[in-house]
Amino acid sequence: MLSGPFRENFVLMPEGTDLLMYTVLVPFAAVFIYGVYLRFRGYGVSNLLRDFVAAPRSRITSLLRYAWLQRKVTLDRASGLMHIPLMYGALVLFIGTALVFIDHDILSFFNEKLLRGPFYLIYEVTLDLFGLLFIIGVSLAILRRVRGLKRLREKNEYYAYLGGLLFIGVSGYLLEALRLHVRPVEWGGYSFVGWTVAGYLDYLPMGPELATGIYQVTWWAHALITFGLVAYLPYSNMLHVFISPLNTMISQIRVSSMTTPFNLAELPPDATELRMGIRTVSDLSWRQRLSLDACTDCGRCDVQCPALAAGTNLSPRMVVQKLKSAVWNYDVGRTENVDFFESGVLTEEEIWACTTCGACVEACPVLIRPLEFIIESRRSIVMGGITDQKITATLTNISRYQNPHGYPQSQREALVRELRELGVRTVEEVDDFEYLYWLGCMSSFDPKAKEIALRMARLMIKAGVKFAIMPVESCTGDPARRMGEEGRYQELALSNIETFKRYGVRKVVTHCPHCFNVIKNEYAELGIELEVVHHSELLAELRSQGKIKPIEGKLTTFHDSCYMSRVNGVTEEPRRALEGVRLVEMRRNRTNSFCCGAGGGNYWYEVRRRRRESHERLEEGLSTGAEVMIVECPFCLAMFEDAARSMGVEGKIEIKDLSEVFE
Amino acid sequence: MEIHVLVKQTYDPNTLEPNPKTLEPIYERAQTKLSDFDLNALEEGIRMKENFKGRVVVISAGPDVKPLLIREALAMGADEAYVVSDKRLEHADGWVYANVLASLSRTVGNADLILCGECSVDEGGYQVGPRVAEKLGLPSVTHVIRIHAEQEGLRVERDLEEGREVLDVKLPIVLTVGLEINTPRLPSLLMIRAASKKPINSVPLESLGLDENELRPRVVCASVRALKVERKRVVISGSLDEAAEKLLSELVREGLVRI
Repeated sequence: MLSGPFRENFVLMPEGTDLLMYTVLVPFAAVFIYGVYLRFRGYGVSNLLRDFVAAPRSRITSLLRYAWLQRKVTLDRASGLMHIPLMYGALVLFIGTALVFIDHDILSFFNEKLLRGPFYLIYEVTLDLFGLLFIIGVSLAILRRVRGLKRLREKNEYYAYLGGLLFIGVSGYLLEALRLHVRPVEWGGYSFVGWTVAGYLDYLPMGPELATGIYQVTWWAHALITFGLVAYLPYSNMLHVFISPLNTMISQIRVSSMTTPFNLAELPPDATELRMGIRTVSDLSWRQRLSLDACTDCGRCDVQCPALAAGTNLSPRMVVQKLKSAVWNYDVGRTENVDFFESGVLTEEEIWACTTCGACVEACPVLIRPLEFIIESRRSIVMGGITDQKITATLTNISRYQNPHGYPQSQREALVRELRELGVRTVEEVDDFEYLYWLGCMSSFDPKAKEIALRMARLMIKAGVKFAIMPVESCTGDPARRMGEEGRYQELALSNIETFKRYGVRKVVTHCPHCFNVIKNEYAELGIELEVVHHSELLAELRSQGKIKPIEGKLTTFHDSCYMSRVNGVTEEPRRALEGVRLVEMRRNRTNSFCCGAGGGNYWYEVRRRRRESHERLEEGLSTGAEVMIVECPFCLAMFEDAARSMGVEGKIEIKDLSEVFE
Repeated sequence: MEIHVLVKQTYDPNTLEPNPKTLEPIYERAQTKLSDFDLNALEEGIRMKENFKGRVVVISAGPDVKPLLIREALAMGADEAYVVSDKRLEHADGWVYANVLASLSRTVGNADLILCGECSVDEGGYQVGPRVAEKLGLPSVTHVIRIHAEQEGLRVERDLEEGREVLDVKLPIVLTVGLEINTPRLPSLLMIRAASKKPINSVPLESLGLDENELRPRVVCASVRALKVERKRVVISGSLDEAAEKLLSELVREGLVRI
């Protein structure tokens, strides 16, 4: 006989309950294991292992940071407050139950007992504490649904699961209390919650028989609901408890990195067998499948999505959820390997609504990349031949006129002439230039952007920057790439790379964040590594050297472009450049900036919408009371100028490029 | 179904710029493309093939037919191309082209359906379709904006100024289509490259057996010049009433408005 505190297992239950319980557990466990098997069959365990072995350190770091420390979950404070107690509560309760199993079913064979003495007392206190946390977390989760947090989808399944969890937590304490009520033990106070409840039970007119009866019923209900939820887990959104941590390990952190499915320069000229993008379940990689299963349907991507805010058909969460269901339906044999677009899983319209701003990727607490699925879908649409008139026109313009607007190259000559008058030379004429000033299509063809480019050139001349321009500039190919037309992108990129090499270009200053991103990050894969700076970074540097100074005065707000802030993490340089200017921040700033609506090709085509991203953003700018809104991208500039005109607020707020603040 | 689509390569009007002195277009700096209307015809042909099986053949003639552009047409979904590329077609008009294209089509085989744009984007002559039909002894319907396949033949809708005309027609026939009929698909670059496997058959002009008369243009273009519009740059000032008065008298003086 044991002396001192110890855990009594299956107390108040009839003899043989343990055997009965395990018998009942078998079918539930089978359902659970089958579900897990189905899921993991889709990813391939060997893929997971190989991926882990390839870079164990970074995988573990990522797991620690995003799964254990919940670094992204807690970016939304309220979510963190709900999720961390829930997650760690559940985890500790699970470990506690596992210890009971070890204690009762393994160690007892060896006449050993783990749950006794001081360890058992610590165990009791810990479990009672985490049980409370668990109940708090589950209650908050239910409360958020009941109070109608907009991003949470109403689904009975979700209520049922949370209800089940709450029942498990509450009934656990009830069992503890009933046990202590019927069979008090000296060390009962360590189970502080159960002990307290048991104290109240003493006031009830309830004899030991009745209490034992209630105990036994509750015990079975507790067990059965737990088994049920476990069995259901791999078939429900709760699957995320396994898959989301795995996803944090395999996913990439960079917001807008794209895969390069081929290299045009190395591709046989008549390659016909090439498949690109995703159109059916079998097109999805194991990573993509796993990533889809990691989705908890929390909707945090939706909250940030500009296309959704503008009332288009796109919801990044639904893209992921729909694909997730499609994979499942295929895996369980409910559907064939059907075309996503023909079977209505996805619509081309929602796919084209994306501005590729990356806010969904930034927002996802478990590192899912909805943007990747959207771009890959675009690729598959392009592979089938696009029939949307404006999209067709844009891509035709890019390849025929080397700019997405469709202007003949001769229209750029005016800008080149005026730059020449300032003394700027082309890379053909000089070779002692430090920077190539890459103007971009907006500077070349948009009258306002042209004036800004001239201003930037004057600033650089004044600051003594040695730079030259291209005699003829072709599109970087970025819009083609974001629209899924990898071939036309690479055609332009390869030709630009050749030109850069021919003129010995090493450093590039771009005016446009989109040019910046693609030349800096994506040309490398096609054969050139360049030092690329954005004009905002150069301005910050010139400012810190005291070579230029900002015109101070009006209250100003700064709009971060998606491709500088979220995609490239450049947020402080433009603010440093603006030091001394009275700056007021918008609610959504830096990497949380809200897209102007022009990205991903949306500047050139149109999808159905209720309102414009640019209007929503300009309203946010106006609400700060600022008289000037500074941008760092010529597309943002055009979008907001247009928004100001159509909203009739031109007199209230000026839209300016960062370079226009300096003299 | 054997579908022949007549496709013309034209100058891209967007890239045609006048010489500032002579006002004549600088052809050397202009790019070429497939005429928009013909792409609509091709798209329609490919859709019919996709729905009813068959073969789409691209038929093209010109002074300097670029294989790359033909490949774009093949990439859209055509099966094969027959091309006459001959310097002698430099000044060809609708009559000459119709003779060449009709003979070429006949050389390829008897088509059930011949499709082409109602006109070309460069000359806009509206000649070739009906003339080809005449030459081949086939009926033709112009300005078609919708084609339905029926039990026997086709039901076609024509867009006319005074309304729409619906006709039931039998095959074989020549149809010319307008821009409204569809949006031509854009083949991706990889599709264009992959289309290099499809045959482009080059046919010598001589082999078509056309006589000198048939190759002599009926229309001779004397010159092409850009319209030059000089703005008058008149600024009218004063109060609204005064300015309106002045504007009106100015317009009357210019003979643009009569009182």
